Amino acid sequence: MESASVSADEIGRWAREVLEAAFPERRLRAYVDAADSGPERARLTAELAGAGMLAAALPAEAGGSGLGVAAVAAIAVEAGRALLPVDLAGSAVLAAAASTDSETLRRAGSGEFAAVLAWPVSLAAPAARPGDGVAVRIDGRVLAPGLGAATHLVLVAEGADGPLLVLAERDQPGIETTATITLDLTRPIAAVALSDADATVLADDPRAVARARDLGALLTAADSLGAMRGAHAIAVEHAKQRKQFGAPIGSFQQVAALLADGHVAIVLAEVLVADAAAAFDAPAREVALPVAMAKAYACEHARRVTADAIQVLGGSGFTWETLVHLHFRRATVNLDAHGGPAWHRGRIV
Amino acid sequence: MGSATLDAPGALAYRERVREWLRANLPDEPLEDPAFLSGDAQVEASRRWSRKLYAGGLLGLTWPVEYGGQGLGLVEQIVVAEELIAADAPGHLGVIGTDIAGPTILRHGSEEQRERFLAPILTGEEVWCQGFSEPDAGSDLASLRTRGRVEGDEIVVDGQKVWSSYAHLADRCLALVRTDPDAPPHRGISAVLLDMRAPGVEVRRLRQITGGRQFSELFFDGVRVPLDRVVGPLGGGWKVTMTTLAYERATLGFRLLGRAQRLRDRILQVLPEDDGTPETHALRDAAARLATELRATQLVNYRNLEGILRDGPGPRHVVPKLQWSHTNQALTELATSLLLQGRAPAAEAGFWEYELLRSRGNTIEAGTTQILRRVIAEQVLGLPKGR
Repeated sequence: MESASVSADEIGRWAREVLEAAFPERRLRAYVDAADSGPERARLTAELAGAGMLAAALPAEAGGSGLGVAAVAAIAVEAGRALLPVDLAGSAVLAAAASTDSETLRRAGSGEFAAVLAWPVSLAAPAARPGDGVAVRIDGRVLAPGLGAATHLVLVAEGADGPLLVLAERDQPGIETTATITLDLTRPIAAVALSDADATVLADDPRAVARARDLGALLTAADSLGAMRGAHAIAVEHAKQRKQFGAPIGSFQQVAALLADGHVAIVLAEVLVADAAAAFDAPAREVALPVAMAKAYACEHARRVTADAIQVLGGSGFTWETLVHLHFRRATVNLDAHGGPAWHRGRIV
Repeated sequence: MGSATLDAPGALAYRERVREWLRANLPDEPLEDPAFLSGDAQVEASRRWSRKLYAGGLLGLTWPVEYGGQGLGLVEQIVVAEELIAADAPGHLGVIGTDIAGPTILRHGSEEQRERFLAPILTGEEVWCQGFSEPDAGSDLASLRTRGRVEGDEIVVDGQKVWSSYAHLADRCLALVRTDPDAPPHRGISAVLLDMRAPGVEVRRLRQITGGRQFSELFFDGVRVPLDRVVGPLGGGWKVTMTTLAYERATLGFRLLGRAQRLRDRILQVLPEDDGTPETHALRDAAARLATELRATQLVNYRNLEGILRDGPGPRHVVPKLQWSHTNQALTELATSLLLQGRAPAAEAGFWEYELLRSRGNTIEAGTTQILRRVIAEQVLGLPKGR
């Protein structure tokens, strides 16, 4: 995996190969059924770090490939498709915050810590500059997919003097997990309460903070796109094989129509996610509008398409073992992560 | 931000020239939409506009120069389609000729047919209509029954066509007739160039739910068509027309999007600001949703363009029309709500009523939603053929 001149499509294909090898279905199945998934996640993290996937967006001096957002989004799509338990967005957001120090970046890229983006929290602290280690009073509760496995939190904090992007170690007094939601079996959500925490300021420029937040939203949209592609492909294959009344069920209009509508949603989500990613990589473009469109559309339709996949699979779609419920769980959690559809649509007109 | 192809410097320069021409040449008086033309004066005014478009080089973009065309490519054709809509230019009577009949003759006709029929399409001298659908053959067009009996050096046509746009004004008709009833349905059909002034042709206008009478029933009673007016091989009419329609879909997506974008812009002009009420929130949420769908459909168009230029049109390319038809219907419904809530000017009621009712046709024409879903299911997803 070389320079940024490699196309996003090629990076996506590479990511898919790596993930098919590192996290095939039997590993997914074992992961979901394990009493303690920590060791498996650690193994997986190390493998992906070794393949260079975690460091994709990081600059070369931090051990990364310096890939743009289009490539990172392509990787995120494949991670969603594979239902990967390792969050990739955190390190991408760290990379995007220009003042993150090299050592922190290197550690993120090597998988030494899992940084997960979450927002919003309110901040009561004196104005702080990037690089400052501050004892900030952060109030609030955040939930985010993958937060349950996070060692570090990247927080968008709303302060009296404007927003800040800060990095906080999870394991400290003042940061407390009050509940864990495991609706998405591949990425537990921790409800984290913060009352007083030490954090490092990553960015204080409102535009940079907004971009970091939008990057998290975009990569979640990409994750949903992957999840719905995966579920849809399973449903299409099933519809070709499964026979009833002497014919494959894919030949029945109602089934075919569901799958055709799913295809349309996937095509539209693809172009919106790609366009939003391209906006990040094009200095002249604003990201807010394309991200809002991608997030609202991809996440809302992913929930429907993954639900329809369960439907097409019929009784077996309703069984734990068929695994397509995992796509539905993931899409459902993504829906309200980093701004729900209504919130993002509120930014469009 | 668009497509690399459409944003290339040559294409941008061409677009600017087209815009300039339109600024200088749009008719001063509003022209009645071809759907509502009544009276010779209005028809003549519409023909004048067709001639003007031709003189300005805005018709026959991809046709060879030797037949009166501009000898340009798909990109220029799309640019012109988009700019005509952006300028709210009136529709023109010759659209069936320029978009369907002409390209069919160009691709599959004899040299004599090309020399005889192409230029008059562009100059507006001859108006064309299509004779495809029949009362019993709509989505299942291949089951058509209009008969073309070969007698010596003529074909005698008997039967009935329906939904034929502009037939009441047409000089010529591109008609699909069954010349071999014993062959498998798709292979017994021939495409013929029929003279609408020939004895035995009767046109009966049909009223649409919009109030307009844009299309007609056509009755053929012993109409004689010379054998040299068959386009392509005898019995090859299906293939001839379907390849033309596939290419037509290539620009259709752009044209449709352009119109929908105009509607969206008008809606955004009257959309209320957020005042905290559920009603306003619902209106704004709907507008945002539709703006997203339009943007996505446009991006799919751009992506498809690269694919069409490279490999020609294919079943994947029905996605924009399918999505647009639903989005456009929702747009007209939203606009109607705004009107009926007193948020859009009452003076625009006629405009929005027409758009609302006209939009019900979007999911029916050029491939019904149900058929297009089937195309995606079978030809894109590879699902087994169904009933």
